Amino acid sequence: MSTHSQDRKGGGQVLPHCGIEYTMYPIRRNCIRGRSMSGNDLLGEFEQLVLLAILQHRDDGYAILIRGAIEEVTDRAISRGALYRTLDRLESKGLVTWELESPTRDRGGNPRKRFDITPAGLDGLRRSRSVVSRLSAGLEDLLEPAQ
Amino acid sequence: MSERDEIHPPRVVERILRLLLGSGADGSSIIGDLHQEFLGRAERGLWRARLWYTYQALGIALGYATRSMRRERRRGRLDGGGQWSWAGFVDTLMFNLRYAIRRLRQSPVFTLVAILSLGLGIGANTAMFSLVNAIVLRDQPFEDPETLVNVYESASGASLSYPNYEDLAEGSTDVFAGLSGTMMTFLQADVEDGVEMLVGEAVTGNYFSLTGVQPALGRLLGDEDHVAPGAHPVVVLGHGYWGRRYGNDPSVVGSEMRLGGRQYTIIGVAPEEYTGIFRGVVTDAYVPIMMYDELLGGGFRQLESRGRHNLLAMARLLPGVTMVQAKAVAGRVENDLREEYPRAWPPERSFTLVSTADLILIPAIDRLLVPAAAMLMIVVGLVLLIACANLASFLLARAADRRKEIAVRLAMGARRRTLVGQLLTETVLLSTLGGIAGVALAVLSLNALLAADLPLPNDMRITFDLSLDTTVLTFSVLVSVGAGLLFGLAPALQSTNPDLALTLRDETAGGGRARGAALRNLLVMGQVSASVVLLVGAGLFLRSLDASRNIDPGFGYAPTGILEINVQADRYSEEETQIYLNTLQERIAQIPGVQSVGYTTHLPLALGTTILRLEVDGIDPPPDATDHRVDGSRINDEFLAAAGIELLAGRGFDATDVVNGEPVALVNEELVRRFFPQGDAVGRTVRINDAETQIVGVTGDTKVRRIGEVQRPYVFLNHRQNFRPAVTILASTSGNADALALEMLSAARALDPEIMIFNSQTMERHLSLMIVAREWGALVVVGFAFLALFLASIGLYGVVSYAVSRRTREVGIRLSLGARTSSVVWMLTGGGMKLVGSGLLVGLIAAAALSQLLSRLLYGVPALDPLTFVGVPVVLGVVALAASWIPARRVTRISPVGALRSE
Repeated sequence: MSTHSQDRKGGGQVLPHCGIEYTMYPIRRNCIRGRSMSGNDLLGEFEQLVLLAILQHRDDGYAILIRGAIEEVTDRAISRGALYRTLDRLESKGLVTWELESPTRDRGGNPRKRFDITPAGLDGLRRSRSVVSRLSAGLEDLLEPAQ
Repeated sequence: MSERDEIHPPRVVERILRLLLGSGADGSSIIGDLHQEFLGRAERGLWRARLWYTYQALGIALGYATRSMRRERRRGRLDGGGQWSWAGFVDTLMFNLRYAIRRLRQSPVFTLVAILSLGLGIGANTAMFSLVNAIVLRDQPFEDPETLVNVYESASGASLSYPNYEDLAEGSTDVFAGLSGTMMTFLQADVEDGVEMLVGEAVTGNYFSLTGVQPALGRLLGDEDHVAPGAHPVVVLGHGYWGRRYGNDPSVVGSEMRLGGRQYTIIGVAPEEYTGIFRGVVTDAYVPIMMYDELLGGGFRQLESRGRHNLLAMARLLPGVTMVQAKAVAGRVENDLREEYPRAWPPERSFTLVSTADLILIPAIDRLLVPAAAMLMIVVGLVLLIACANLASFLLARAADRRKEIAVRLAMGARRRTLVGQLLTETVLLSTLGGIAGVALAVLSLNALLAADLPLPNDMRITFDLSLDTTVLTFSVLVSVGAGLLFGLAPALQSTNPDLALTLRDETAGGGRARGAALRNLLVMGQVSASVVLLVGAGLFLRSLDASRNIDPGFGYAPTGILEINVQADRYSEEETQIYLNTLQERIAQIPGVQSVGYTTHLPLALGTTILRLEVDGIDPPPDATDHRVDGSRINDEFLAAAGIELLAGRGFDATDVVNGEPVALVNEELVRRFFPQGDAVGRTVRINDAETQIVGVTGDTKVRRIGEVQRPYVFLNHRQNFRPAVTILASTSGNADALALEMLSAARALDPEIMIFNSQTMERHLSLMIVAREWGALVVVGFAFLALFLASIGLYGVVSYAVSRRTREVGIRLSLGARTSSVVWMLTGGGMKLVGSGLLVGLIAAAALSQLLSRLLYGVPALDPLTFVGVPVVLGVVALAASWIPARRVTRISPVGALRSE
C-alpha cells in the first residue's frame, strides 16, 4: 500500500489522479508494485519464461534472442516493452545481471546487454518449479497431453 | 558494407528515442536492438522497415515515459508532494490517454465516424488555409517590405511604359531611394532537343538590390548590367529552372545559354524563396531590361514606346519620407508628362502608389482575391462547424449513456475536475486523430490541385508553395485541439453535473427527455442552417457557371488550332515576314481536314488588348478626352472565316486592299450601335490612330476582354496596311483540333526552326481560360456544400436514432396501446423534420443575406435566384427525410412486450 497517498480530507485510501478509491476502480492495473523479492514470493509466468529463455541462451543472452526464443515456444507475439520492463524488474529483484558489450556497426554504434541469471534467479526458478510440481502431483492423468 | 551504411532508421525518430531513453546503458542497448532488427527488416523493404521502426519506437517511448514519470512522482511525494508538478501532469495525461484509447476502441464505429467527419472538416480547413496562406498571407522575401511601394499608371493597377518609368525615376529622386522595373515576357531558349519557351523577367539594374533579394549562386543583375539596348547579354536563372534544366549544377555559372537566338552568359541563380515578381507565376530567367526588344526579335520597340504599358515598377522610399510626400512628387512628374504628351496621358491615367506590404498581386485582382479568400475560409469554417457539431452531438449521446457510471463514480468521491479531464482527453484525442487525418487529406487534395492542367500558354508554371509550413500546421493544431476542447467541454460538464440524486433515479421513466436533448437539437438545427447557406452558395455558383458557359463568344465555334508566332524583325524584313506568313498559311491549308486559315495580331479573349484611338465626325469624345478609345486588332483577309466571325454588311478584306491603298477597317455591330445609330456605317470614313480610314464592312459582335463583359465596340484593321510581326494563326478543321495544333507547330518549325513560338493550343482551350476560375470556384464550393450536407445528415441520423433508442419504452407503451407502427415511425421522423424545418428557415434567411455579398463573384444570376432558393430546401428536405426516416423505421423491430420489459 505504500504507493498510495492518503486522501487530503482524511479517511479512505484514494488513488492519486483518478480521484477514486482504488478498490472501486475497474481499469487501472499494476497499482501495487515495486517490491523486492522476498523469500516466499513466487515468480510470475512471464518472469519464469524470461528466466528460462536466458538459461537456454547462457552464452548469448541478448534481448532479441530471448524474445525470439519465447515467441517460438509460446507461439505468440511478445511485446518489446513488456520484455524490457520484465528484464528491468528481474534485475531490480536481483534475479538477473547483465554485462555491456562494446558497440558494433550493425547496431548503429550502440552497445549490447548480455543477460545472465543470478544464483537468486536460479533459486526462484527452482522454487516456482517445485511448487508447480507439488501441486500437480497425482494429476498426471489429467495434465499429461493426450496420446 | 558501404551500401548498408546508407540504410538507416528514421533519424528523427532515433533522436527522439535517444532523448527519451537517455544515452545510458539501458537506452542505448534498446536502441541498438531496434537498429539491429531494423537492418534485418530493411532488406525486405526499406519503407516498411522505417514504418515498423517508428511504430516500435512509439510504443517503447510511451511505456518508458509513463514509467519514469511514475517513478519521479513517487519520489516527489516522498519529498512532501501534493504540489502540482510536470511529472504529475504528464502522468495523469498518460493515464487519461490510455483510458481514452480504451474507450474509443470499445466503440470503433463511433470513433471512425467521428474521426472521419472531423478529418473532413479539418482537412478542408487546412487545405484552404494553405492556399490562402500561400497566396494572400505569405510575404514576398523582400527586405524591409514596409518601405517598398508599387507604382502603377492607374488605380486598377495598369503597368507603366518604359519611357514613363524613366521619367518618373528621374523626377522622384527626392522621395525614392530607387525605382526599379520589370517586364514579364516569354523567352525562347535553345535546348538539346529543340527550343523551349521560358517565363522571363526583363529587369532594371536596381531590381534585385532594391528589394534586397540575395543570390543562391553567383551574382544577380546589377547596375553594371543595365547599359545600352542589346549590349549586354547576361542572364540570371530562376532556382526552379536551374534545378529542372541543369540539375542544380553549380558549375553553370559562367557558362552560356542561347536565348532568342543569341548567346547569353549565365551569371548567377536566384534564391529558392524568390520565384518572381508575381506570386505564383514562376520566373525561369531574369535578363537586363535593355535586352527586352532584342529578345523579342526587334519587332517591338518597347523601350521607346510611351503607349505600351507592361512595366511593373517598385520603389523604395527614402528614410523619413511618407507615402503622402511620395504621391505628391509622383503627381508633379505626372503633370509635367501630361503637358508634354497629352495623347499618352488620358484622364484615367495617373500614377498610383500602393504600399507593397498591402499588395497581393495587383490592385484590380486583389479586389476579387480578398473576398474570394474570405469566402473560401467561411465555407470551410462552416464545414468544420458542422463536423464539430456532429462530434458534440455524438459525445452528448454517449455522455447520456454513461451518466450512471459517472454518477456512481461521483458518489464514490471522484472529483468532478478529474472526470471532466478524462472526458476532455477523450475528445481532444479524437479531434487530434481527426486533425491528423485532416492534414493527410489536405496534402493529398493540394497535390491534386497542383497537378491540375490549367489552360495557360506554353509551359508557364503556376506554382504556389503549398507545403505545410509552421503557420499552416499551427493553424491545424489550433483548430483540432480547439475544436476538441470547445465541443467536448459542454458534453463533459453536462454529464458530470453533480446532481446525483436525480440521475441515480431511473430517469428513463420520464420518456427519455435527457438534458442533453435540447443542446443536441440546437446543434442539428445549426448544422442544417449552415448546410443551407453552403448549398445556396453552391447553387448560385453552379448557375453562374452555367450562365457563363452559355455566353456566345461570337467566334471559335469550329474545332480550331491556334499558333502564336513572332517573326523576328532582326531576321526578316517586312516583305520577308509577309512571304513567310503567306507560305505558312498555304502549308497549313494543305493539312487534311483544314477548312480555312487566317491570322490576327490579337485574338479576342486573350490576355491583354490593343487600344485604338477613334474619331468619328459628329460624335464628341468623352469629356477631358481628345478621342474615343476602342479595342481592335489587325487581321488578314481570311481571319473572319477561320474564326467563324459573321460578316453582316459590306465586304470583308480582300486583295484590293493593298499596302499603300486607302486604309480600310471592319467594325462590329456594337460600334455601329454606338457611333452610327442610323446604321449607315459602311462607306463612312473615320480617323483611327490619326489615319483617315474607310469602314468597308460590319461584323457580328465578339466578346473582347472577358466572357462576361458588357459588349464592347471593336475595330478590325487590315494587317497588310498595319503590319505587325507577331500574329496568332487560326486554322479551323473538320478533324481533331489538338492534332492540328501540333501539325501547325511543326509546319512553322519546318519553314524556320528558329521561329519564335509563343503558344500552340486549341480554340477550346483558349476559350476555357475565361471560365476556368469560375469552374474551379464552383467545383470547390459545390464539393464543400455536399460535404456539409453529408455531415449534417450524419448528425441528423444520429439524433433520430438516438431518440429511437431512448424512447424504446415509450414506443413499446404506444404500440401495446394499439398505435400503428407507421404512425409511430412518422412521429419519430416528424421530430427530426421539425428540427430540419427550423434550421432550414434560419439557413435561408442567412443565405439570403450572405448571397448579397457573393453578388460580385456571380455572373448572370440574381443573388436571390428563385431556382436556387427553391431547389436547395427541396434537396435538403429529401436528404433530411431519408436521414431521419431510416433510423425511425427501427421501431418496427421493437416488440411491445420486450420494450416494456427492457428497462
